[in-house]
Amino acid sequence: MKRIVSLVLAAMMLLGMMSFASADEPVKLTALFIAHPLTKHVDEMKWVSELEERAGVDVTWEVIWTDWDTVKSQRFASGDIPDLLFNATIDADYTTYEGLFADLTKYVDAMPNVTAMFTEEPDTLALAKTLEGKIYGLPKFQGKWPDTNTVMFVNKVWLENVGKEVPTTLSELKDVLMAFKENDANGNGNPNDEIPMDFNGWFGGAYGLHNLIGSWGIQQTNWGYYSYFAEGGQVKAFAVDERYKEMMIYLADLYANGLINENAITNDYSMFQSLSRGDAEGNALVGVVMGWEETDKFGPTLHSQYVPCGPFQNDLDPKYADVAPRWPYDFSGLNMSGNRVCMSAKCENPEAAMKFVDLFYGEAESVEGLFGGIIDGNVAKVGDNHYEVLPPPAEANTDPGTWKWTSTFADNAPMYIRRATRVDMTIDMEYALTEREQYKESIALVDMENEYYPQMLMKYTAEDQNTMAVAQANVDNIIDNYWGLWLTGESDVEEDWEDYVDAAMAAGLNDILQIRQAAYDVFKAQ
Amino acid sequence: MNGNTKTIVKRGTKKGLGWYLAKDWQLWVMLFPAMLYILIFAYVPMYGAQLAFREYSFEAGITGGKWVGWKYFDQYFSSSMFSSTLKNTFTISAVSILLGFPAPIVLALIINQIRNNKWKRTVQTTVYIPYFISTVVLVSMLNVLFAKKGGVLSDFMKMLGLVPEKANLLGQAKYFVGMYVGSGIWQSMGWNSIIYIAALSSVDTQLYDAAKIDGANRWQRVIHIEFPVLVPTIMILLIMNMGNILNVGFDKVYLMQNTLNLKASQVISTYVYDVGVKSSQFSFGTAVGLFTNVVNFVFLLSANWISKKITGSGLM
Amino acid sequence: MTAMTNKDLRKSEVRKNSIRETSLSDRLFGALVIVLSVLCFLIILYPLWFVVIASISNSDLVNQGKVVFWPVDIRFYGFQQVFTDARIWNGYLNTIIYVVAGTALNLAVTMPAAYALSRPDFKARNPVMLYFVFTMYFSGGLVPLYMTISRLNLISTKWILIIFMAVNTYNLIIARTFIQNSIPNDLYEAAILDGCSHFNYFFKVVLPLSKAVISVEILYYGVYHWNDYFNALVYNYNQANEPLQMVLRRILLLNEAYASGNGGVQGGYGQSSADQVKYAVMIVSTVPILCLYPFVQKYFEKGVMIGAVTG
Repeated sequence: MKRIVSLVLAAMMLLGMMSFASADEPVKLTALFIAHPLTKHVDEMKWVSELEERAGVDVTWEVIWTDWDTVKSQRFASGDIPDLLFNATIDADYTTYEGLFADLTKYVDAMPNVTAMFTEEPDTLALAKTLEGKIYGLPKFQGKWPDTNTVMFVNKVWLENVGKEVPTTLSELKDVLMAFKENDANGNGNPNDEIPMDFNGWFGGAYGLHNLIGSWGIQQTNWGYYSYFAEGGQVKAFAVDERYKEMMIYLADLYANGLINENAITNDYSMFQSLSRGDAEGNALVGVVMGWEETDKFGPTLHSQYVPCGPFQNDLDPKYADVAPRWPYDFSGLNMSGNRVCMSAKCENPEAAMKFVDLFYGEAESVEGLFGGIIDGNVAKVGDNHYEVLPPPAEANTDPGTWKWTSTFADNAPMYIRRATRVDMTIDMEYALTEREQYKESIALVDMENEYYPQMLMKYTAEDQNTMAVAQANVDNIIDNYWGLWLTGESDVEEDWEDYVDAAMAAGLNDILQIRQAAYDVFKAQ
Repeated sequence: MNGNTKTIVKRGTKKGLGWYLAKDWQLWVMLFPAMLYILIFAYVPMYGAQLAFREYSFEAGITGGKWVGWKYFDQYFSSSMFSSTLKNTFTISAVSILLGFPAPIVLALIINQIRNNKWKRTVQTTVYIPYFISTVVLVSMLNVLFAKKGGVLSDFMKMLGLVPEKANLLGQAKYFVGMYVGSGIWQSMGWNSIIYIAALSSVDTQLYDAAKIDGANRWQRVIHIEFPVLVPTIMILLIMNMGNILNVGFDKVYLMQNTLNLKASQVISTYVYDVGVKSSQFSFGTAVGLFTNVVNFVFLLSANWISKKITGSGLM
Repeated sequence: MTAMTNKDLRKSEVRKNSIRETSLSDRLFGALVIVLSVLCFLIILYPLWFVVIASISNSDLVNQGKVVFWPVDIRFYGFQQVFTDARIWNGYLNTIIYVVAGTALNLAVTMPAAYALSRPDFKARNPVMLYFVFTMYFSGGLVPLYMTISRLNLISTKWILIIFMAVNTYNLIIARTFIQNSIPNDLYEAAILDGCSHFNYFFKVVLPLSKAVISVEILYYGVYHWNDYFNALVYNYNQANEPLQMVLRRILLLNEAYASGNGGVQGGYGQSSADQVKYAVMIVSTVPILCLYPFVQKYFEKGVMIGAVTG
C-alpha cells in the first residue's frame, strides 16, 4: 500500500515537473492578498514579478483593501477561493472550513527557507502547527522589532520648569503629576491647560494605565490580552488579583486629584494622538503618556521635549520593597505572527505554488517584503547580510515610516528576517529602539520558564474555543465595566471587590483559566 | 369590465377560483416581477435558517451539519448576559419609538405650516442632510462635541442647566440611552418627515376653504384637516416600527460603547458580535438572529391586530 | 421668464392669504411655527457646519475641541486625498449607472405591485402582503444568498448591483398605503364604468396622481443605491465595477488603519491632517445626492394632486 502511494506520488511529481519543464510555459496561479489600505496593487511591485519569474509561475493577483472580515465568510463558505491566500486567514478558519485549505506539512521539506525559519526560530513552528499537528498557514518572523510595545514618556522641559527629576517610584510619579497640575508647566501663561497624564484603552492595549501593574510585580507578556498572565507556571487573570485592586486604588487617587485626563476614557485613538501633539501655538499639553515612538506620538517638533521613564518601583506599601518592577514584554507579538500565507486544497499545482511561496522567505526577499523591493528602489543591498532602507524620493510625497506601506506587503508579508541580517532602518525605527533601552533591565527579569505566556502559541480544540468565546464575552462585560467606574470614583474599589471577583468567576472566568492552564501546560511540555 | 361586475363584487357573491383569477389576472401580472424577485432572493436562500439548529461544517454544507437542536438557543438563554442585553435592547428601542416616532410627524406639520416659501424650502432641504452622515463620523462628532472637558455642546447644555455640572454625557450609563436616541432623532428626523410631507400634499384644498368659512383657526385646521390625512401613514409606520423592537443596529452602539456606559450599552447585536462573529461562530449568530426576529414578528402581528381593531386598517 | 412671473404670482397670492388671516390666535400660531422651525434649523445646521469646518481644519485641533465656529489652521489634505485617487472618477460613473438603472428598475417593479396590493377588492391581498412582510423578518443569512447569486452567475457583474433590492418591502408598503389612501375610490369606479382595465387605470390615473409618492420612492431607492457599498463589497471583486462608496471607503480606512495603536503596524503618522479625510469623504459623498432633493421636492407642494385631478 505504502509503495503504491509513494509510486503514485513520484509519478505525480514527475508529471508536475514535466509540465513545467516540457514547455517553458509558466504555471498559472491565482492569488489573493489582503492589503493595508495604503498599499499599491501587487502588479505594480516589481520585486514580486521577479519572484514569479524565478519560480516559473504566472500569478493573477486579486487585492482586497477593506472589510475582508465581512466578505470572508461568504467567500470561504461557498468554496470560492484562489490557489494562494496571503494574509487572509485566522486559526479558527481552518477548523470552521475544514477541507478548504491544504495541509502544507508535506511540502515544507522542499522549502529550504521555511525549513530554516522553523529550525532557527522554533517558536514559529509552534505557531504554525494546529492542535492536531497540521500546518495550514505559514507564519512570519521579523526579528528586528523591539521587545515591548509600550514606552512611557515624560516631558523633560516641564520637569525642568517645575524643578523635578524623572520619577522612578510610584510616589514620585504622583509628586511630579501634582507639580504639573499646579504649575504652568508648559510656560504659556495658562496654569490650567496642562494635562498631567493621559492614556488610551485598557486590557490588552499598549497605552493603557493598566500597564503599570508591573510595579506590583505582575509580568505581562504578549500584550496580556484580557489580563491573563503566568506566575510560577500558573495562568492567572490580574483583573481579579488583589494587586490589581491596589493599583486601582492608586489610580483612583490620581484621578480624584485631577491628574488623569477626564476625557481619556471616551476619547478615541485619534483624539488620544492629537492631544499629545500640542496646541495651535506649539505648546505641549500632556505631561506623562505612553506611546509607540516619540515622533509618531508627539509630532516632528514636540518630540524632543519627551524622554522615556519607568518602570516605577512600588513604594506605596513596604511589602513591595523587594519586588522589582516589571514592564510588558511583547517580543513574540511584535515579531511573529501566523497565517501570512495558505493554500487552497484545490490548488492544481501545489509544488509550484509552494516553491513560489518559499522564495518570499529568502534573506533578501524577506527584507524586500517588509521594506520594499531592491529593484523598486526602496531598499539597497550594501554588503553581505546587510541592507539599507532608502529614504523615499521627493515625488513619493510621503514620510519614511509610511513609505513601506505604500510600496510593498510590509508587515503583512510572509517573511523570515534572520537575526544575523543587518538592516539599517529609518529614523523612527531607530528612535523606537533607543527609547526602549530604558526597559532593558526590567525585561531581562522575565522568567521564560514560568512567566512567559505567549497567548498566540496556545492551541485549543474547537469546543474549547467556543466555550471560551462565550465565557470571555460574559467576563469582559464585568471587567471592562468596573475599571472605569473605579478610576473615575463612580464606584468604590474596596466596597465592590469581593462581589466583582465572584461575579467574574461565575461568568466563566474559572472555566477559562482551567482551559488556558491545560493549554499552557501542553505548551511548556514541548 | 362593466357595471355589472362591479355590483357583483360589492355584494361579495361567492364565486369559484377560476372566476377570481379571470377577474384579477391583471393584478397578478403586476405583482409578478416583485414576487419573483422575492422568491429568488429571499425564499430560495431561506434554507440557511436551519443553521441555527445545526453545527456548521464546511464539507457537509449548510444543510448537512450535525443537528444540535436548541443548543445555540440555550447557549444564549442561559448566558448571564441574556436578560441584560434583552433589557437594554428593549429600552433603547422603546425610547426610540416613544420619542423618535412622533418627531418627524411634528416636523412635517411645522414645515407644512411655514408660509414663506423660501424659508420653507431652506428648512426642508437642511433637515434631511444629517441622514447622510456615516456612523463613524457621527460618533466622532459626538466624542468631540460632548466631551466631558471642553466639549462645546456639553458645556452649552451645562450652561443652560440642562444637565448637572459634573455630568459626563458620553461616559455615564444613565445618559447613554438619551445620547443614542437624541443623536438618532437628530440624524433621521428630517429624512423620516419626507413621507409625511408627501402625504400632506394630498390634502384637498377645498377642505381648507370650507374650514376658513367655518371660522376654524390655523391650529384647528392642523388638528382637523392635516393630521387625519397622516393617520393611515402613521399607523402603517408605527406597526412597522413595532416590528423592529429588538433591532438595535450594531455599528453605532459598538462605537459609542465604553467602560463607563457598558451597563446600558451592551445590546443583543454587540453581544452576538463579541461571541459569534469575533470567533466565526455561524450557528450562534443565526440562532440569536432567529430568536430576535420571531419576537419582532410577534410584535408586528400584534400591532397590526390592534390597529385593525381600533382604526379598522392595518398592514395586512 | 414666465416661470419667474408664475413664481412671483404665487408668492403674492401667499402674501395676500397671510394678510387676510390676522386673528390673534393665528398670529401667535404663525410666530410659534417660525420659532420652532428656526430652532430645528439651528440644531440641525450647527453639526453640519462643524463637519464642513472640520474637513479643512488641522485635525489635531478638531480632536482637541478647539475648532468650534470657524476653521482653524486651514489645510486641504483631506480633499486632496479624495481627488487624487484615480479610481474616484470611475467610481462616480459606476454609481450613476447603478442609481439610474437601479432606481428605474425599482419603480418598474414596486409601483405596479403597490397598486395591486392597494386594491381592496383584490382577494389575495393579505396573503400576498404576508408573503412580502415575512421576508423582512426571516432570512437564510448571507451565505446561502451568496450561493444563490453565484449560481445565477451574477457575481462580479454590474447586473447584481442593479438588480439587488429590486423591491424593498418597506418601500412597497409605503407606496401601497399612499395609493390606497390618497386616490379617491370614486375615480376607480368611474373608470370601471368607462370600461377601463387595471392596466389602463394604473397608467392613466394612478401614476399621474402618485407623483408625490413616486418622488419619495425615487429618493428612498436612489439614496439606497447611492450609499450602498455592502453589496459591492460582497458580490463584486472586479475593480472596474466599483461604485464610489467603495473607493471612498478605502480612502477613509487609509486614515483609520493607523488608529490601531499597535506598534507592529505604525507608519509615520506625521501629517496632523489625516483625520480630515473622514470629514472630506463625507462631504464628497453627500453633496451630489443632495442635489436630487430640489428636483423631487416640487412634487410635495400642496395642491399638485388636486390640480391633476381636475385638469
